[in-house]
Amino acid sequence: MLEVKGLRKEYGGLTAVQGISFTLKPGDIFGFIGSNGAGKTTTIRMISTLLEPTAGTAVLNGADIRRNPMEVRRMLGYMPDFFGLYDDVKVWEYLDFFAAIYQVPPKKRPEVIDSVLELTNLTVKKQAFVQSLSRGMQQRLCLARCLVHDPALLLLDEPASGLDPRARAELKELIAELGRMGKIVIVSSHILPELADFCNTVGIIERGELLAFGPVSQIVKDIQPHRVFSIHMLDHLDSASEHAKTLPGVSDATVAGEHELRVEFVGDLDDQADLLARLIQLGYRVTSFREDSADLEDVFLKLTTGAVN
Amino acid sequence: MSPGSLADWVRSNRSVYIGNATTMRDFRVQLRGSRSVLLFGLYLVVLILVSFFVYGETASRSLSIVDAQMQLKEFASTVMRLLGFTVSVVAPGLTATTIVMERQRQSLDLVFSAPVSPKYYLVGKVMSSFRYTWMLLVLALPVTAASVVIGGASWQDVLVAYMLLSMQALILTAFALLMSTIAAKPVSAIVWSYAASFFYNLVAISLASVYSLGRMFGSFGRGNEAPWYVTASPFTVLETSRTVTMIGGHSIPNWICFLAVALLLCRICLLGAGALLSPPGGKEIQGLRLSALVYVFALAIGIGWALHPHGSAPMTPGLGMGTVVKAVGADDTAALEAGQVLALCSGPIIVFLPFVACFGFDRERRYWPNGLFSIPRALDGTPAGGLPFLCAFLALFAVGMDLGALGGDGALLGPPFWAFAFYTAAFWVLFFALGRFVSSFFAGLKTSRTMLFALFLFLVCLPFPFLTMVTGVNLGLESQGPWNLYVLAPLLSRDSYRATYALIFGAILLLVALVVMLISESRVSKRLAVLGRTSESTR
Ligand SMILES: Nc1ncnc2c1ncn2[C@@H]1O[C@H](COP(=O)(O)OP(=O)(O)OP(=O)(O)O)[C@@H](O)[C@H]1O
Ligand SMILES: [Mg+2]
Repeated sequence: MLEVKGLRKEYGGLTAVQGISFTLKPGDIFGFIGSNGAGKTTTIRMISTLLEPTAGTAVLNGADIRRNPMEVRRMLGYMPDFFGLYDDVKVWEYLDFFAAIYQVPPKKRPEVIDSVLELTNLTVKKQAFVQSLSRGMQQRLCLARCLVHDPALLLLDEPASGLDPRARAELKELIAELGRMGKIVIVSSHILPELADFCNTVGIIERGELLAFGPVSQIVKDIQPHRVFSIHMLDHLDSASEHAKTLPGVSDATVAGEHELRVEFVGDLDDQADLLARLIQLGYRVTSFREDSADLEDVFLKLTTGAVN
Repeated sequence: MSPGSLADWVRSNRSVYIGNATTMRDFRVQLRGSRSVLLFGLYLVVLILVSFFVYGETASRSLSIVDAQMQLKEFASTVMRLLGFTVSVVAPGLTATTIVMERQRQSLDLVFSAPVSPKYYLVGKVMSSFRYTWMLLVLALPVTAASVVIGGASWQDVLVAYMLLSMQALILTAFALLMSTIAAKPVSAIVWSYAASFFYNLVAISLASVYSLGRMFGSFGRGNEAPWYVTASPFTVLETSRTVTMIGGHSIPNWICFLAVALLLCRICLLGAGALLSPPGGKEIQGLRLSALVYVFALAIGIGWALHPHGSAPMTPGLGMGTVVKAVGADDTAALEAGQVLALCSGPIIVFLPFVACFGFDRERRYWPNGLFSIPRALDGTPAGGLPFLCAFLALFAVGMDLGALGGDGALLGPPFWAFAFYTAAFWVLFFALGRFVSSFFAGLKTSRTMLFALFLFLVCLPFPFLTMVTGVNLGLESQGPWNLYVLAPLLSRDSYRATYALIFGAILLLVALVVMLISESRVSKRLAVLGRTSESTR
């Protein structure tokens, strides 16, 4: 259980984070989204006890980040957005070092190292030097480092930056797996769609303020009360749009292209099924019917003005 | 303390010193690959070549037995001097970049997001570079053993010399680690570490030579007796290895005294580095300030006692300032001299005053003005505690000296001493006020600290050569004119009214300090109002 209570950070005159609060429970994967300079890193660093909040606090499983930072550190794994690896150190030595400072008993360390290497798919690189790893592998090594002490909370600051699409997919799978293991995972990113499919909670931060917080579907619904359907048909689009406007749940319908009709929709699933059935019943030759979900990006852009303090 | 918490304490300390993960990792890196073998090989070859050369020089001349004995001694000393040089070069170089590099590489966050205390990390770093320096010393054992075998020194001498060398290495390592924590760039860390090493050697060598000069003219020391600080120089370890200090009729080997001093110095440096690595209010900064108070008190007692050993005439053994504090007929010479010594000895305050007085931004940490004077905050490192801490520091210094004098002489120091104490306090309070003044421009913490230091140089050090130029070298002699306007005038003066000068100067300095403080406080509150926030008094 992580409770963030009114966290606030000021840098002199500039307020980087203005009192944000939220609560996460074990198994939650929280996508933390904001544009450059929105305050993601600052928030994550405050939760990781590395940065002292100007006001507010966070409590992880009963331990307060201000009063009991050492206790909190034992329970969290933090992966910064930028980090350096040591020269001249081998992958297993690197992990052994962190296992040691996380007070993993020496006898258990080899086993722990093997299992986190397995989890992050780095077993073959066990004897390699860390500076010889590729960017994506270093990213995974850093994640492996966060896991040596089986933390309850993972703070991943833009873990997907610098990864190729395949590695991104693997990372998502890994994070989903960590969520299933009952950890709280906070993942920050610039891109909402990237997070939407594996986070169960999303927060959008702008100029240090949490503009929206909740499940993805909830947020999308809040921002955009209507959904948009893109219906392709062979002909008679004009009359189809007139017809569609009369159907239940449809708030607007426009012709968007030679064969495409866009329908703004506020109804429920029944209405949705009826919409398609009626159109076909009326004799329109529908070739495809789908919800336009690329709009997550639009949602984000709509919510945030992109302005930085 | 309950048995449970004692056991916890033992366990946490054991994990710091035994099997420290930082040390282990560094050590793996240090010994990795052929590079280290090459380095060690090269080092040994150089060492052996140099000693052969020196030995050849020694042995080639045909000499009498006595001369040969002398030459062999000389050979052993040369080898040890070489090792002393190695220590002063290697220890700072090895340590200077450790922390600043990690900060630049941004791997420090990874470490400190783990349950690692600054102490664990810093001690680990000290141990890893200390161990490396030690390896170099151990590698030189064959060469030093040779000097024992051929009869230049005894085993006991060599062991003690090694002990002294390793303590010197420890001190230099701790200095370098502190510099590495303060510095923002590796290059400046290296430069400052070597500057610290150079300065240490300068002080240690001049102390040792003051002693040996004194001995040459027979002014102090009998047999092996010598002040403990002669053992601080890395270049005379063999010569000083047998010296002792007489304390209460017992002769204590000097290396034991030096061991204690080295450990204390190391502790102070590490506490300082720890305080810089942890947020204000952390226990490191409290430990540092508390230790500073305790040590300055102890040091002051020592100084007071040394100035007045058992009713004999006042003297300043080896402090190198005999000319400055020489008594010229005044009614209470002892108190006057003690007062001037107090003022002089408070000089090193300028090293830490910028850290105590200035506020502003420092990367991510913030030393925000939270008031001018708050006794409960004296130890927590926030700006409001700076002035109380400074006052406590100076008060303990003066009281300690007075108590020391009482112990040595059986009498407390008279009013002239306290006049100088007042002058000293006013002087430092003025610089504290200047520190707040330069901070009130909010140009950044580092800038303010540098400005304060620069102001000190400008107001205190610069006038010295200038005034010397104007009036000639006979400083402090019944001099009229420009010297009387100099801030340090009471300190340099040798006439019998200097206590009065001190009082007058103290009052003027204090007045100026108050004005400067008022100006800077009004600037700060205006600035804070502009920023739309009030001075943060509670946190
Ligand atoms: N050390 C600092 N000193 C002063 N201001 C800072 C500092 N660190 C961050 N800021 C400011 O705080 C604000 C938030 O920064 P933060 O790094 O949290 O953004 P972010 O959301 O992580 O951005 P990005 O996506 O670029 O990583 C920015 O306006 C930044 O300029
Ligand atoms: Mg960031």
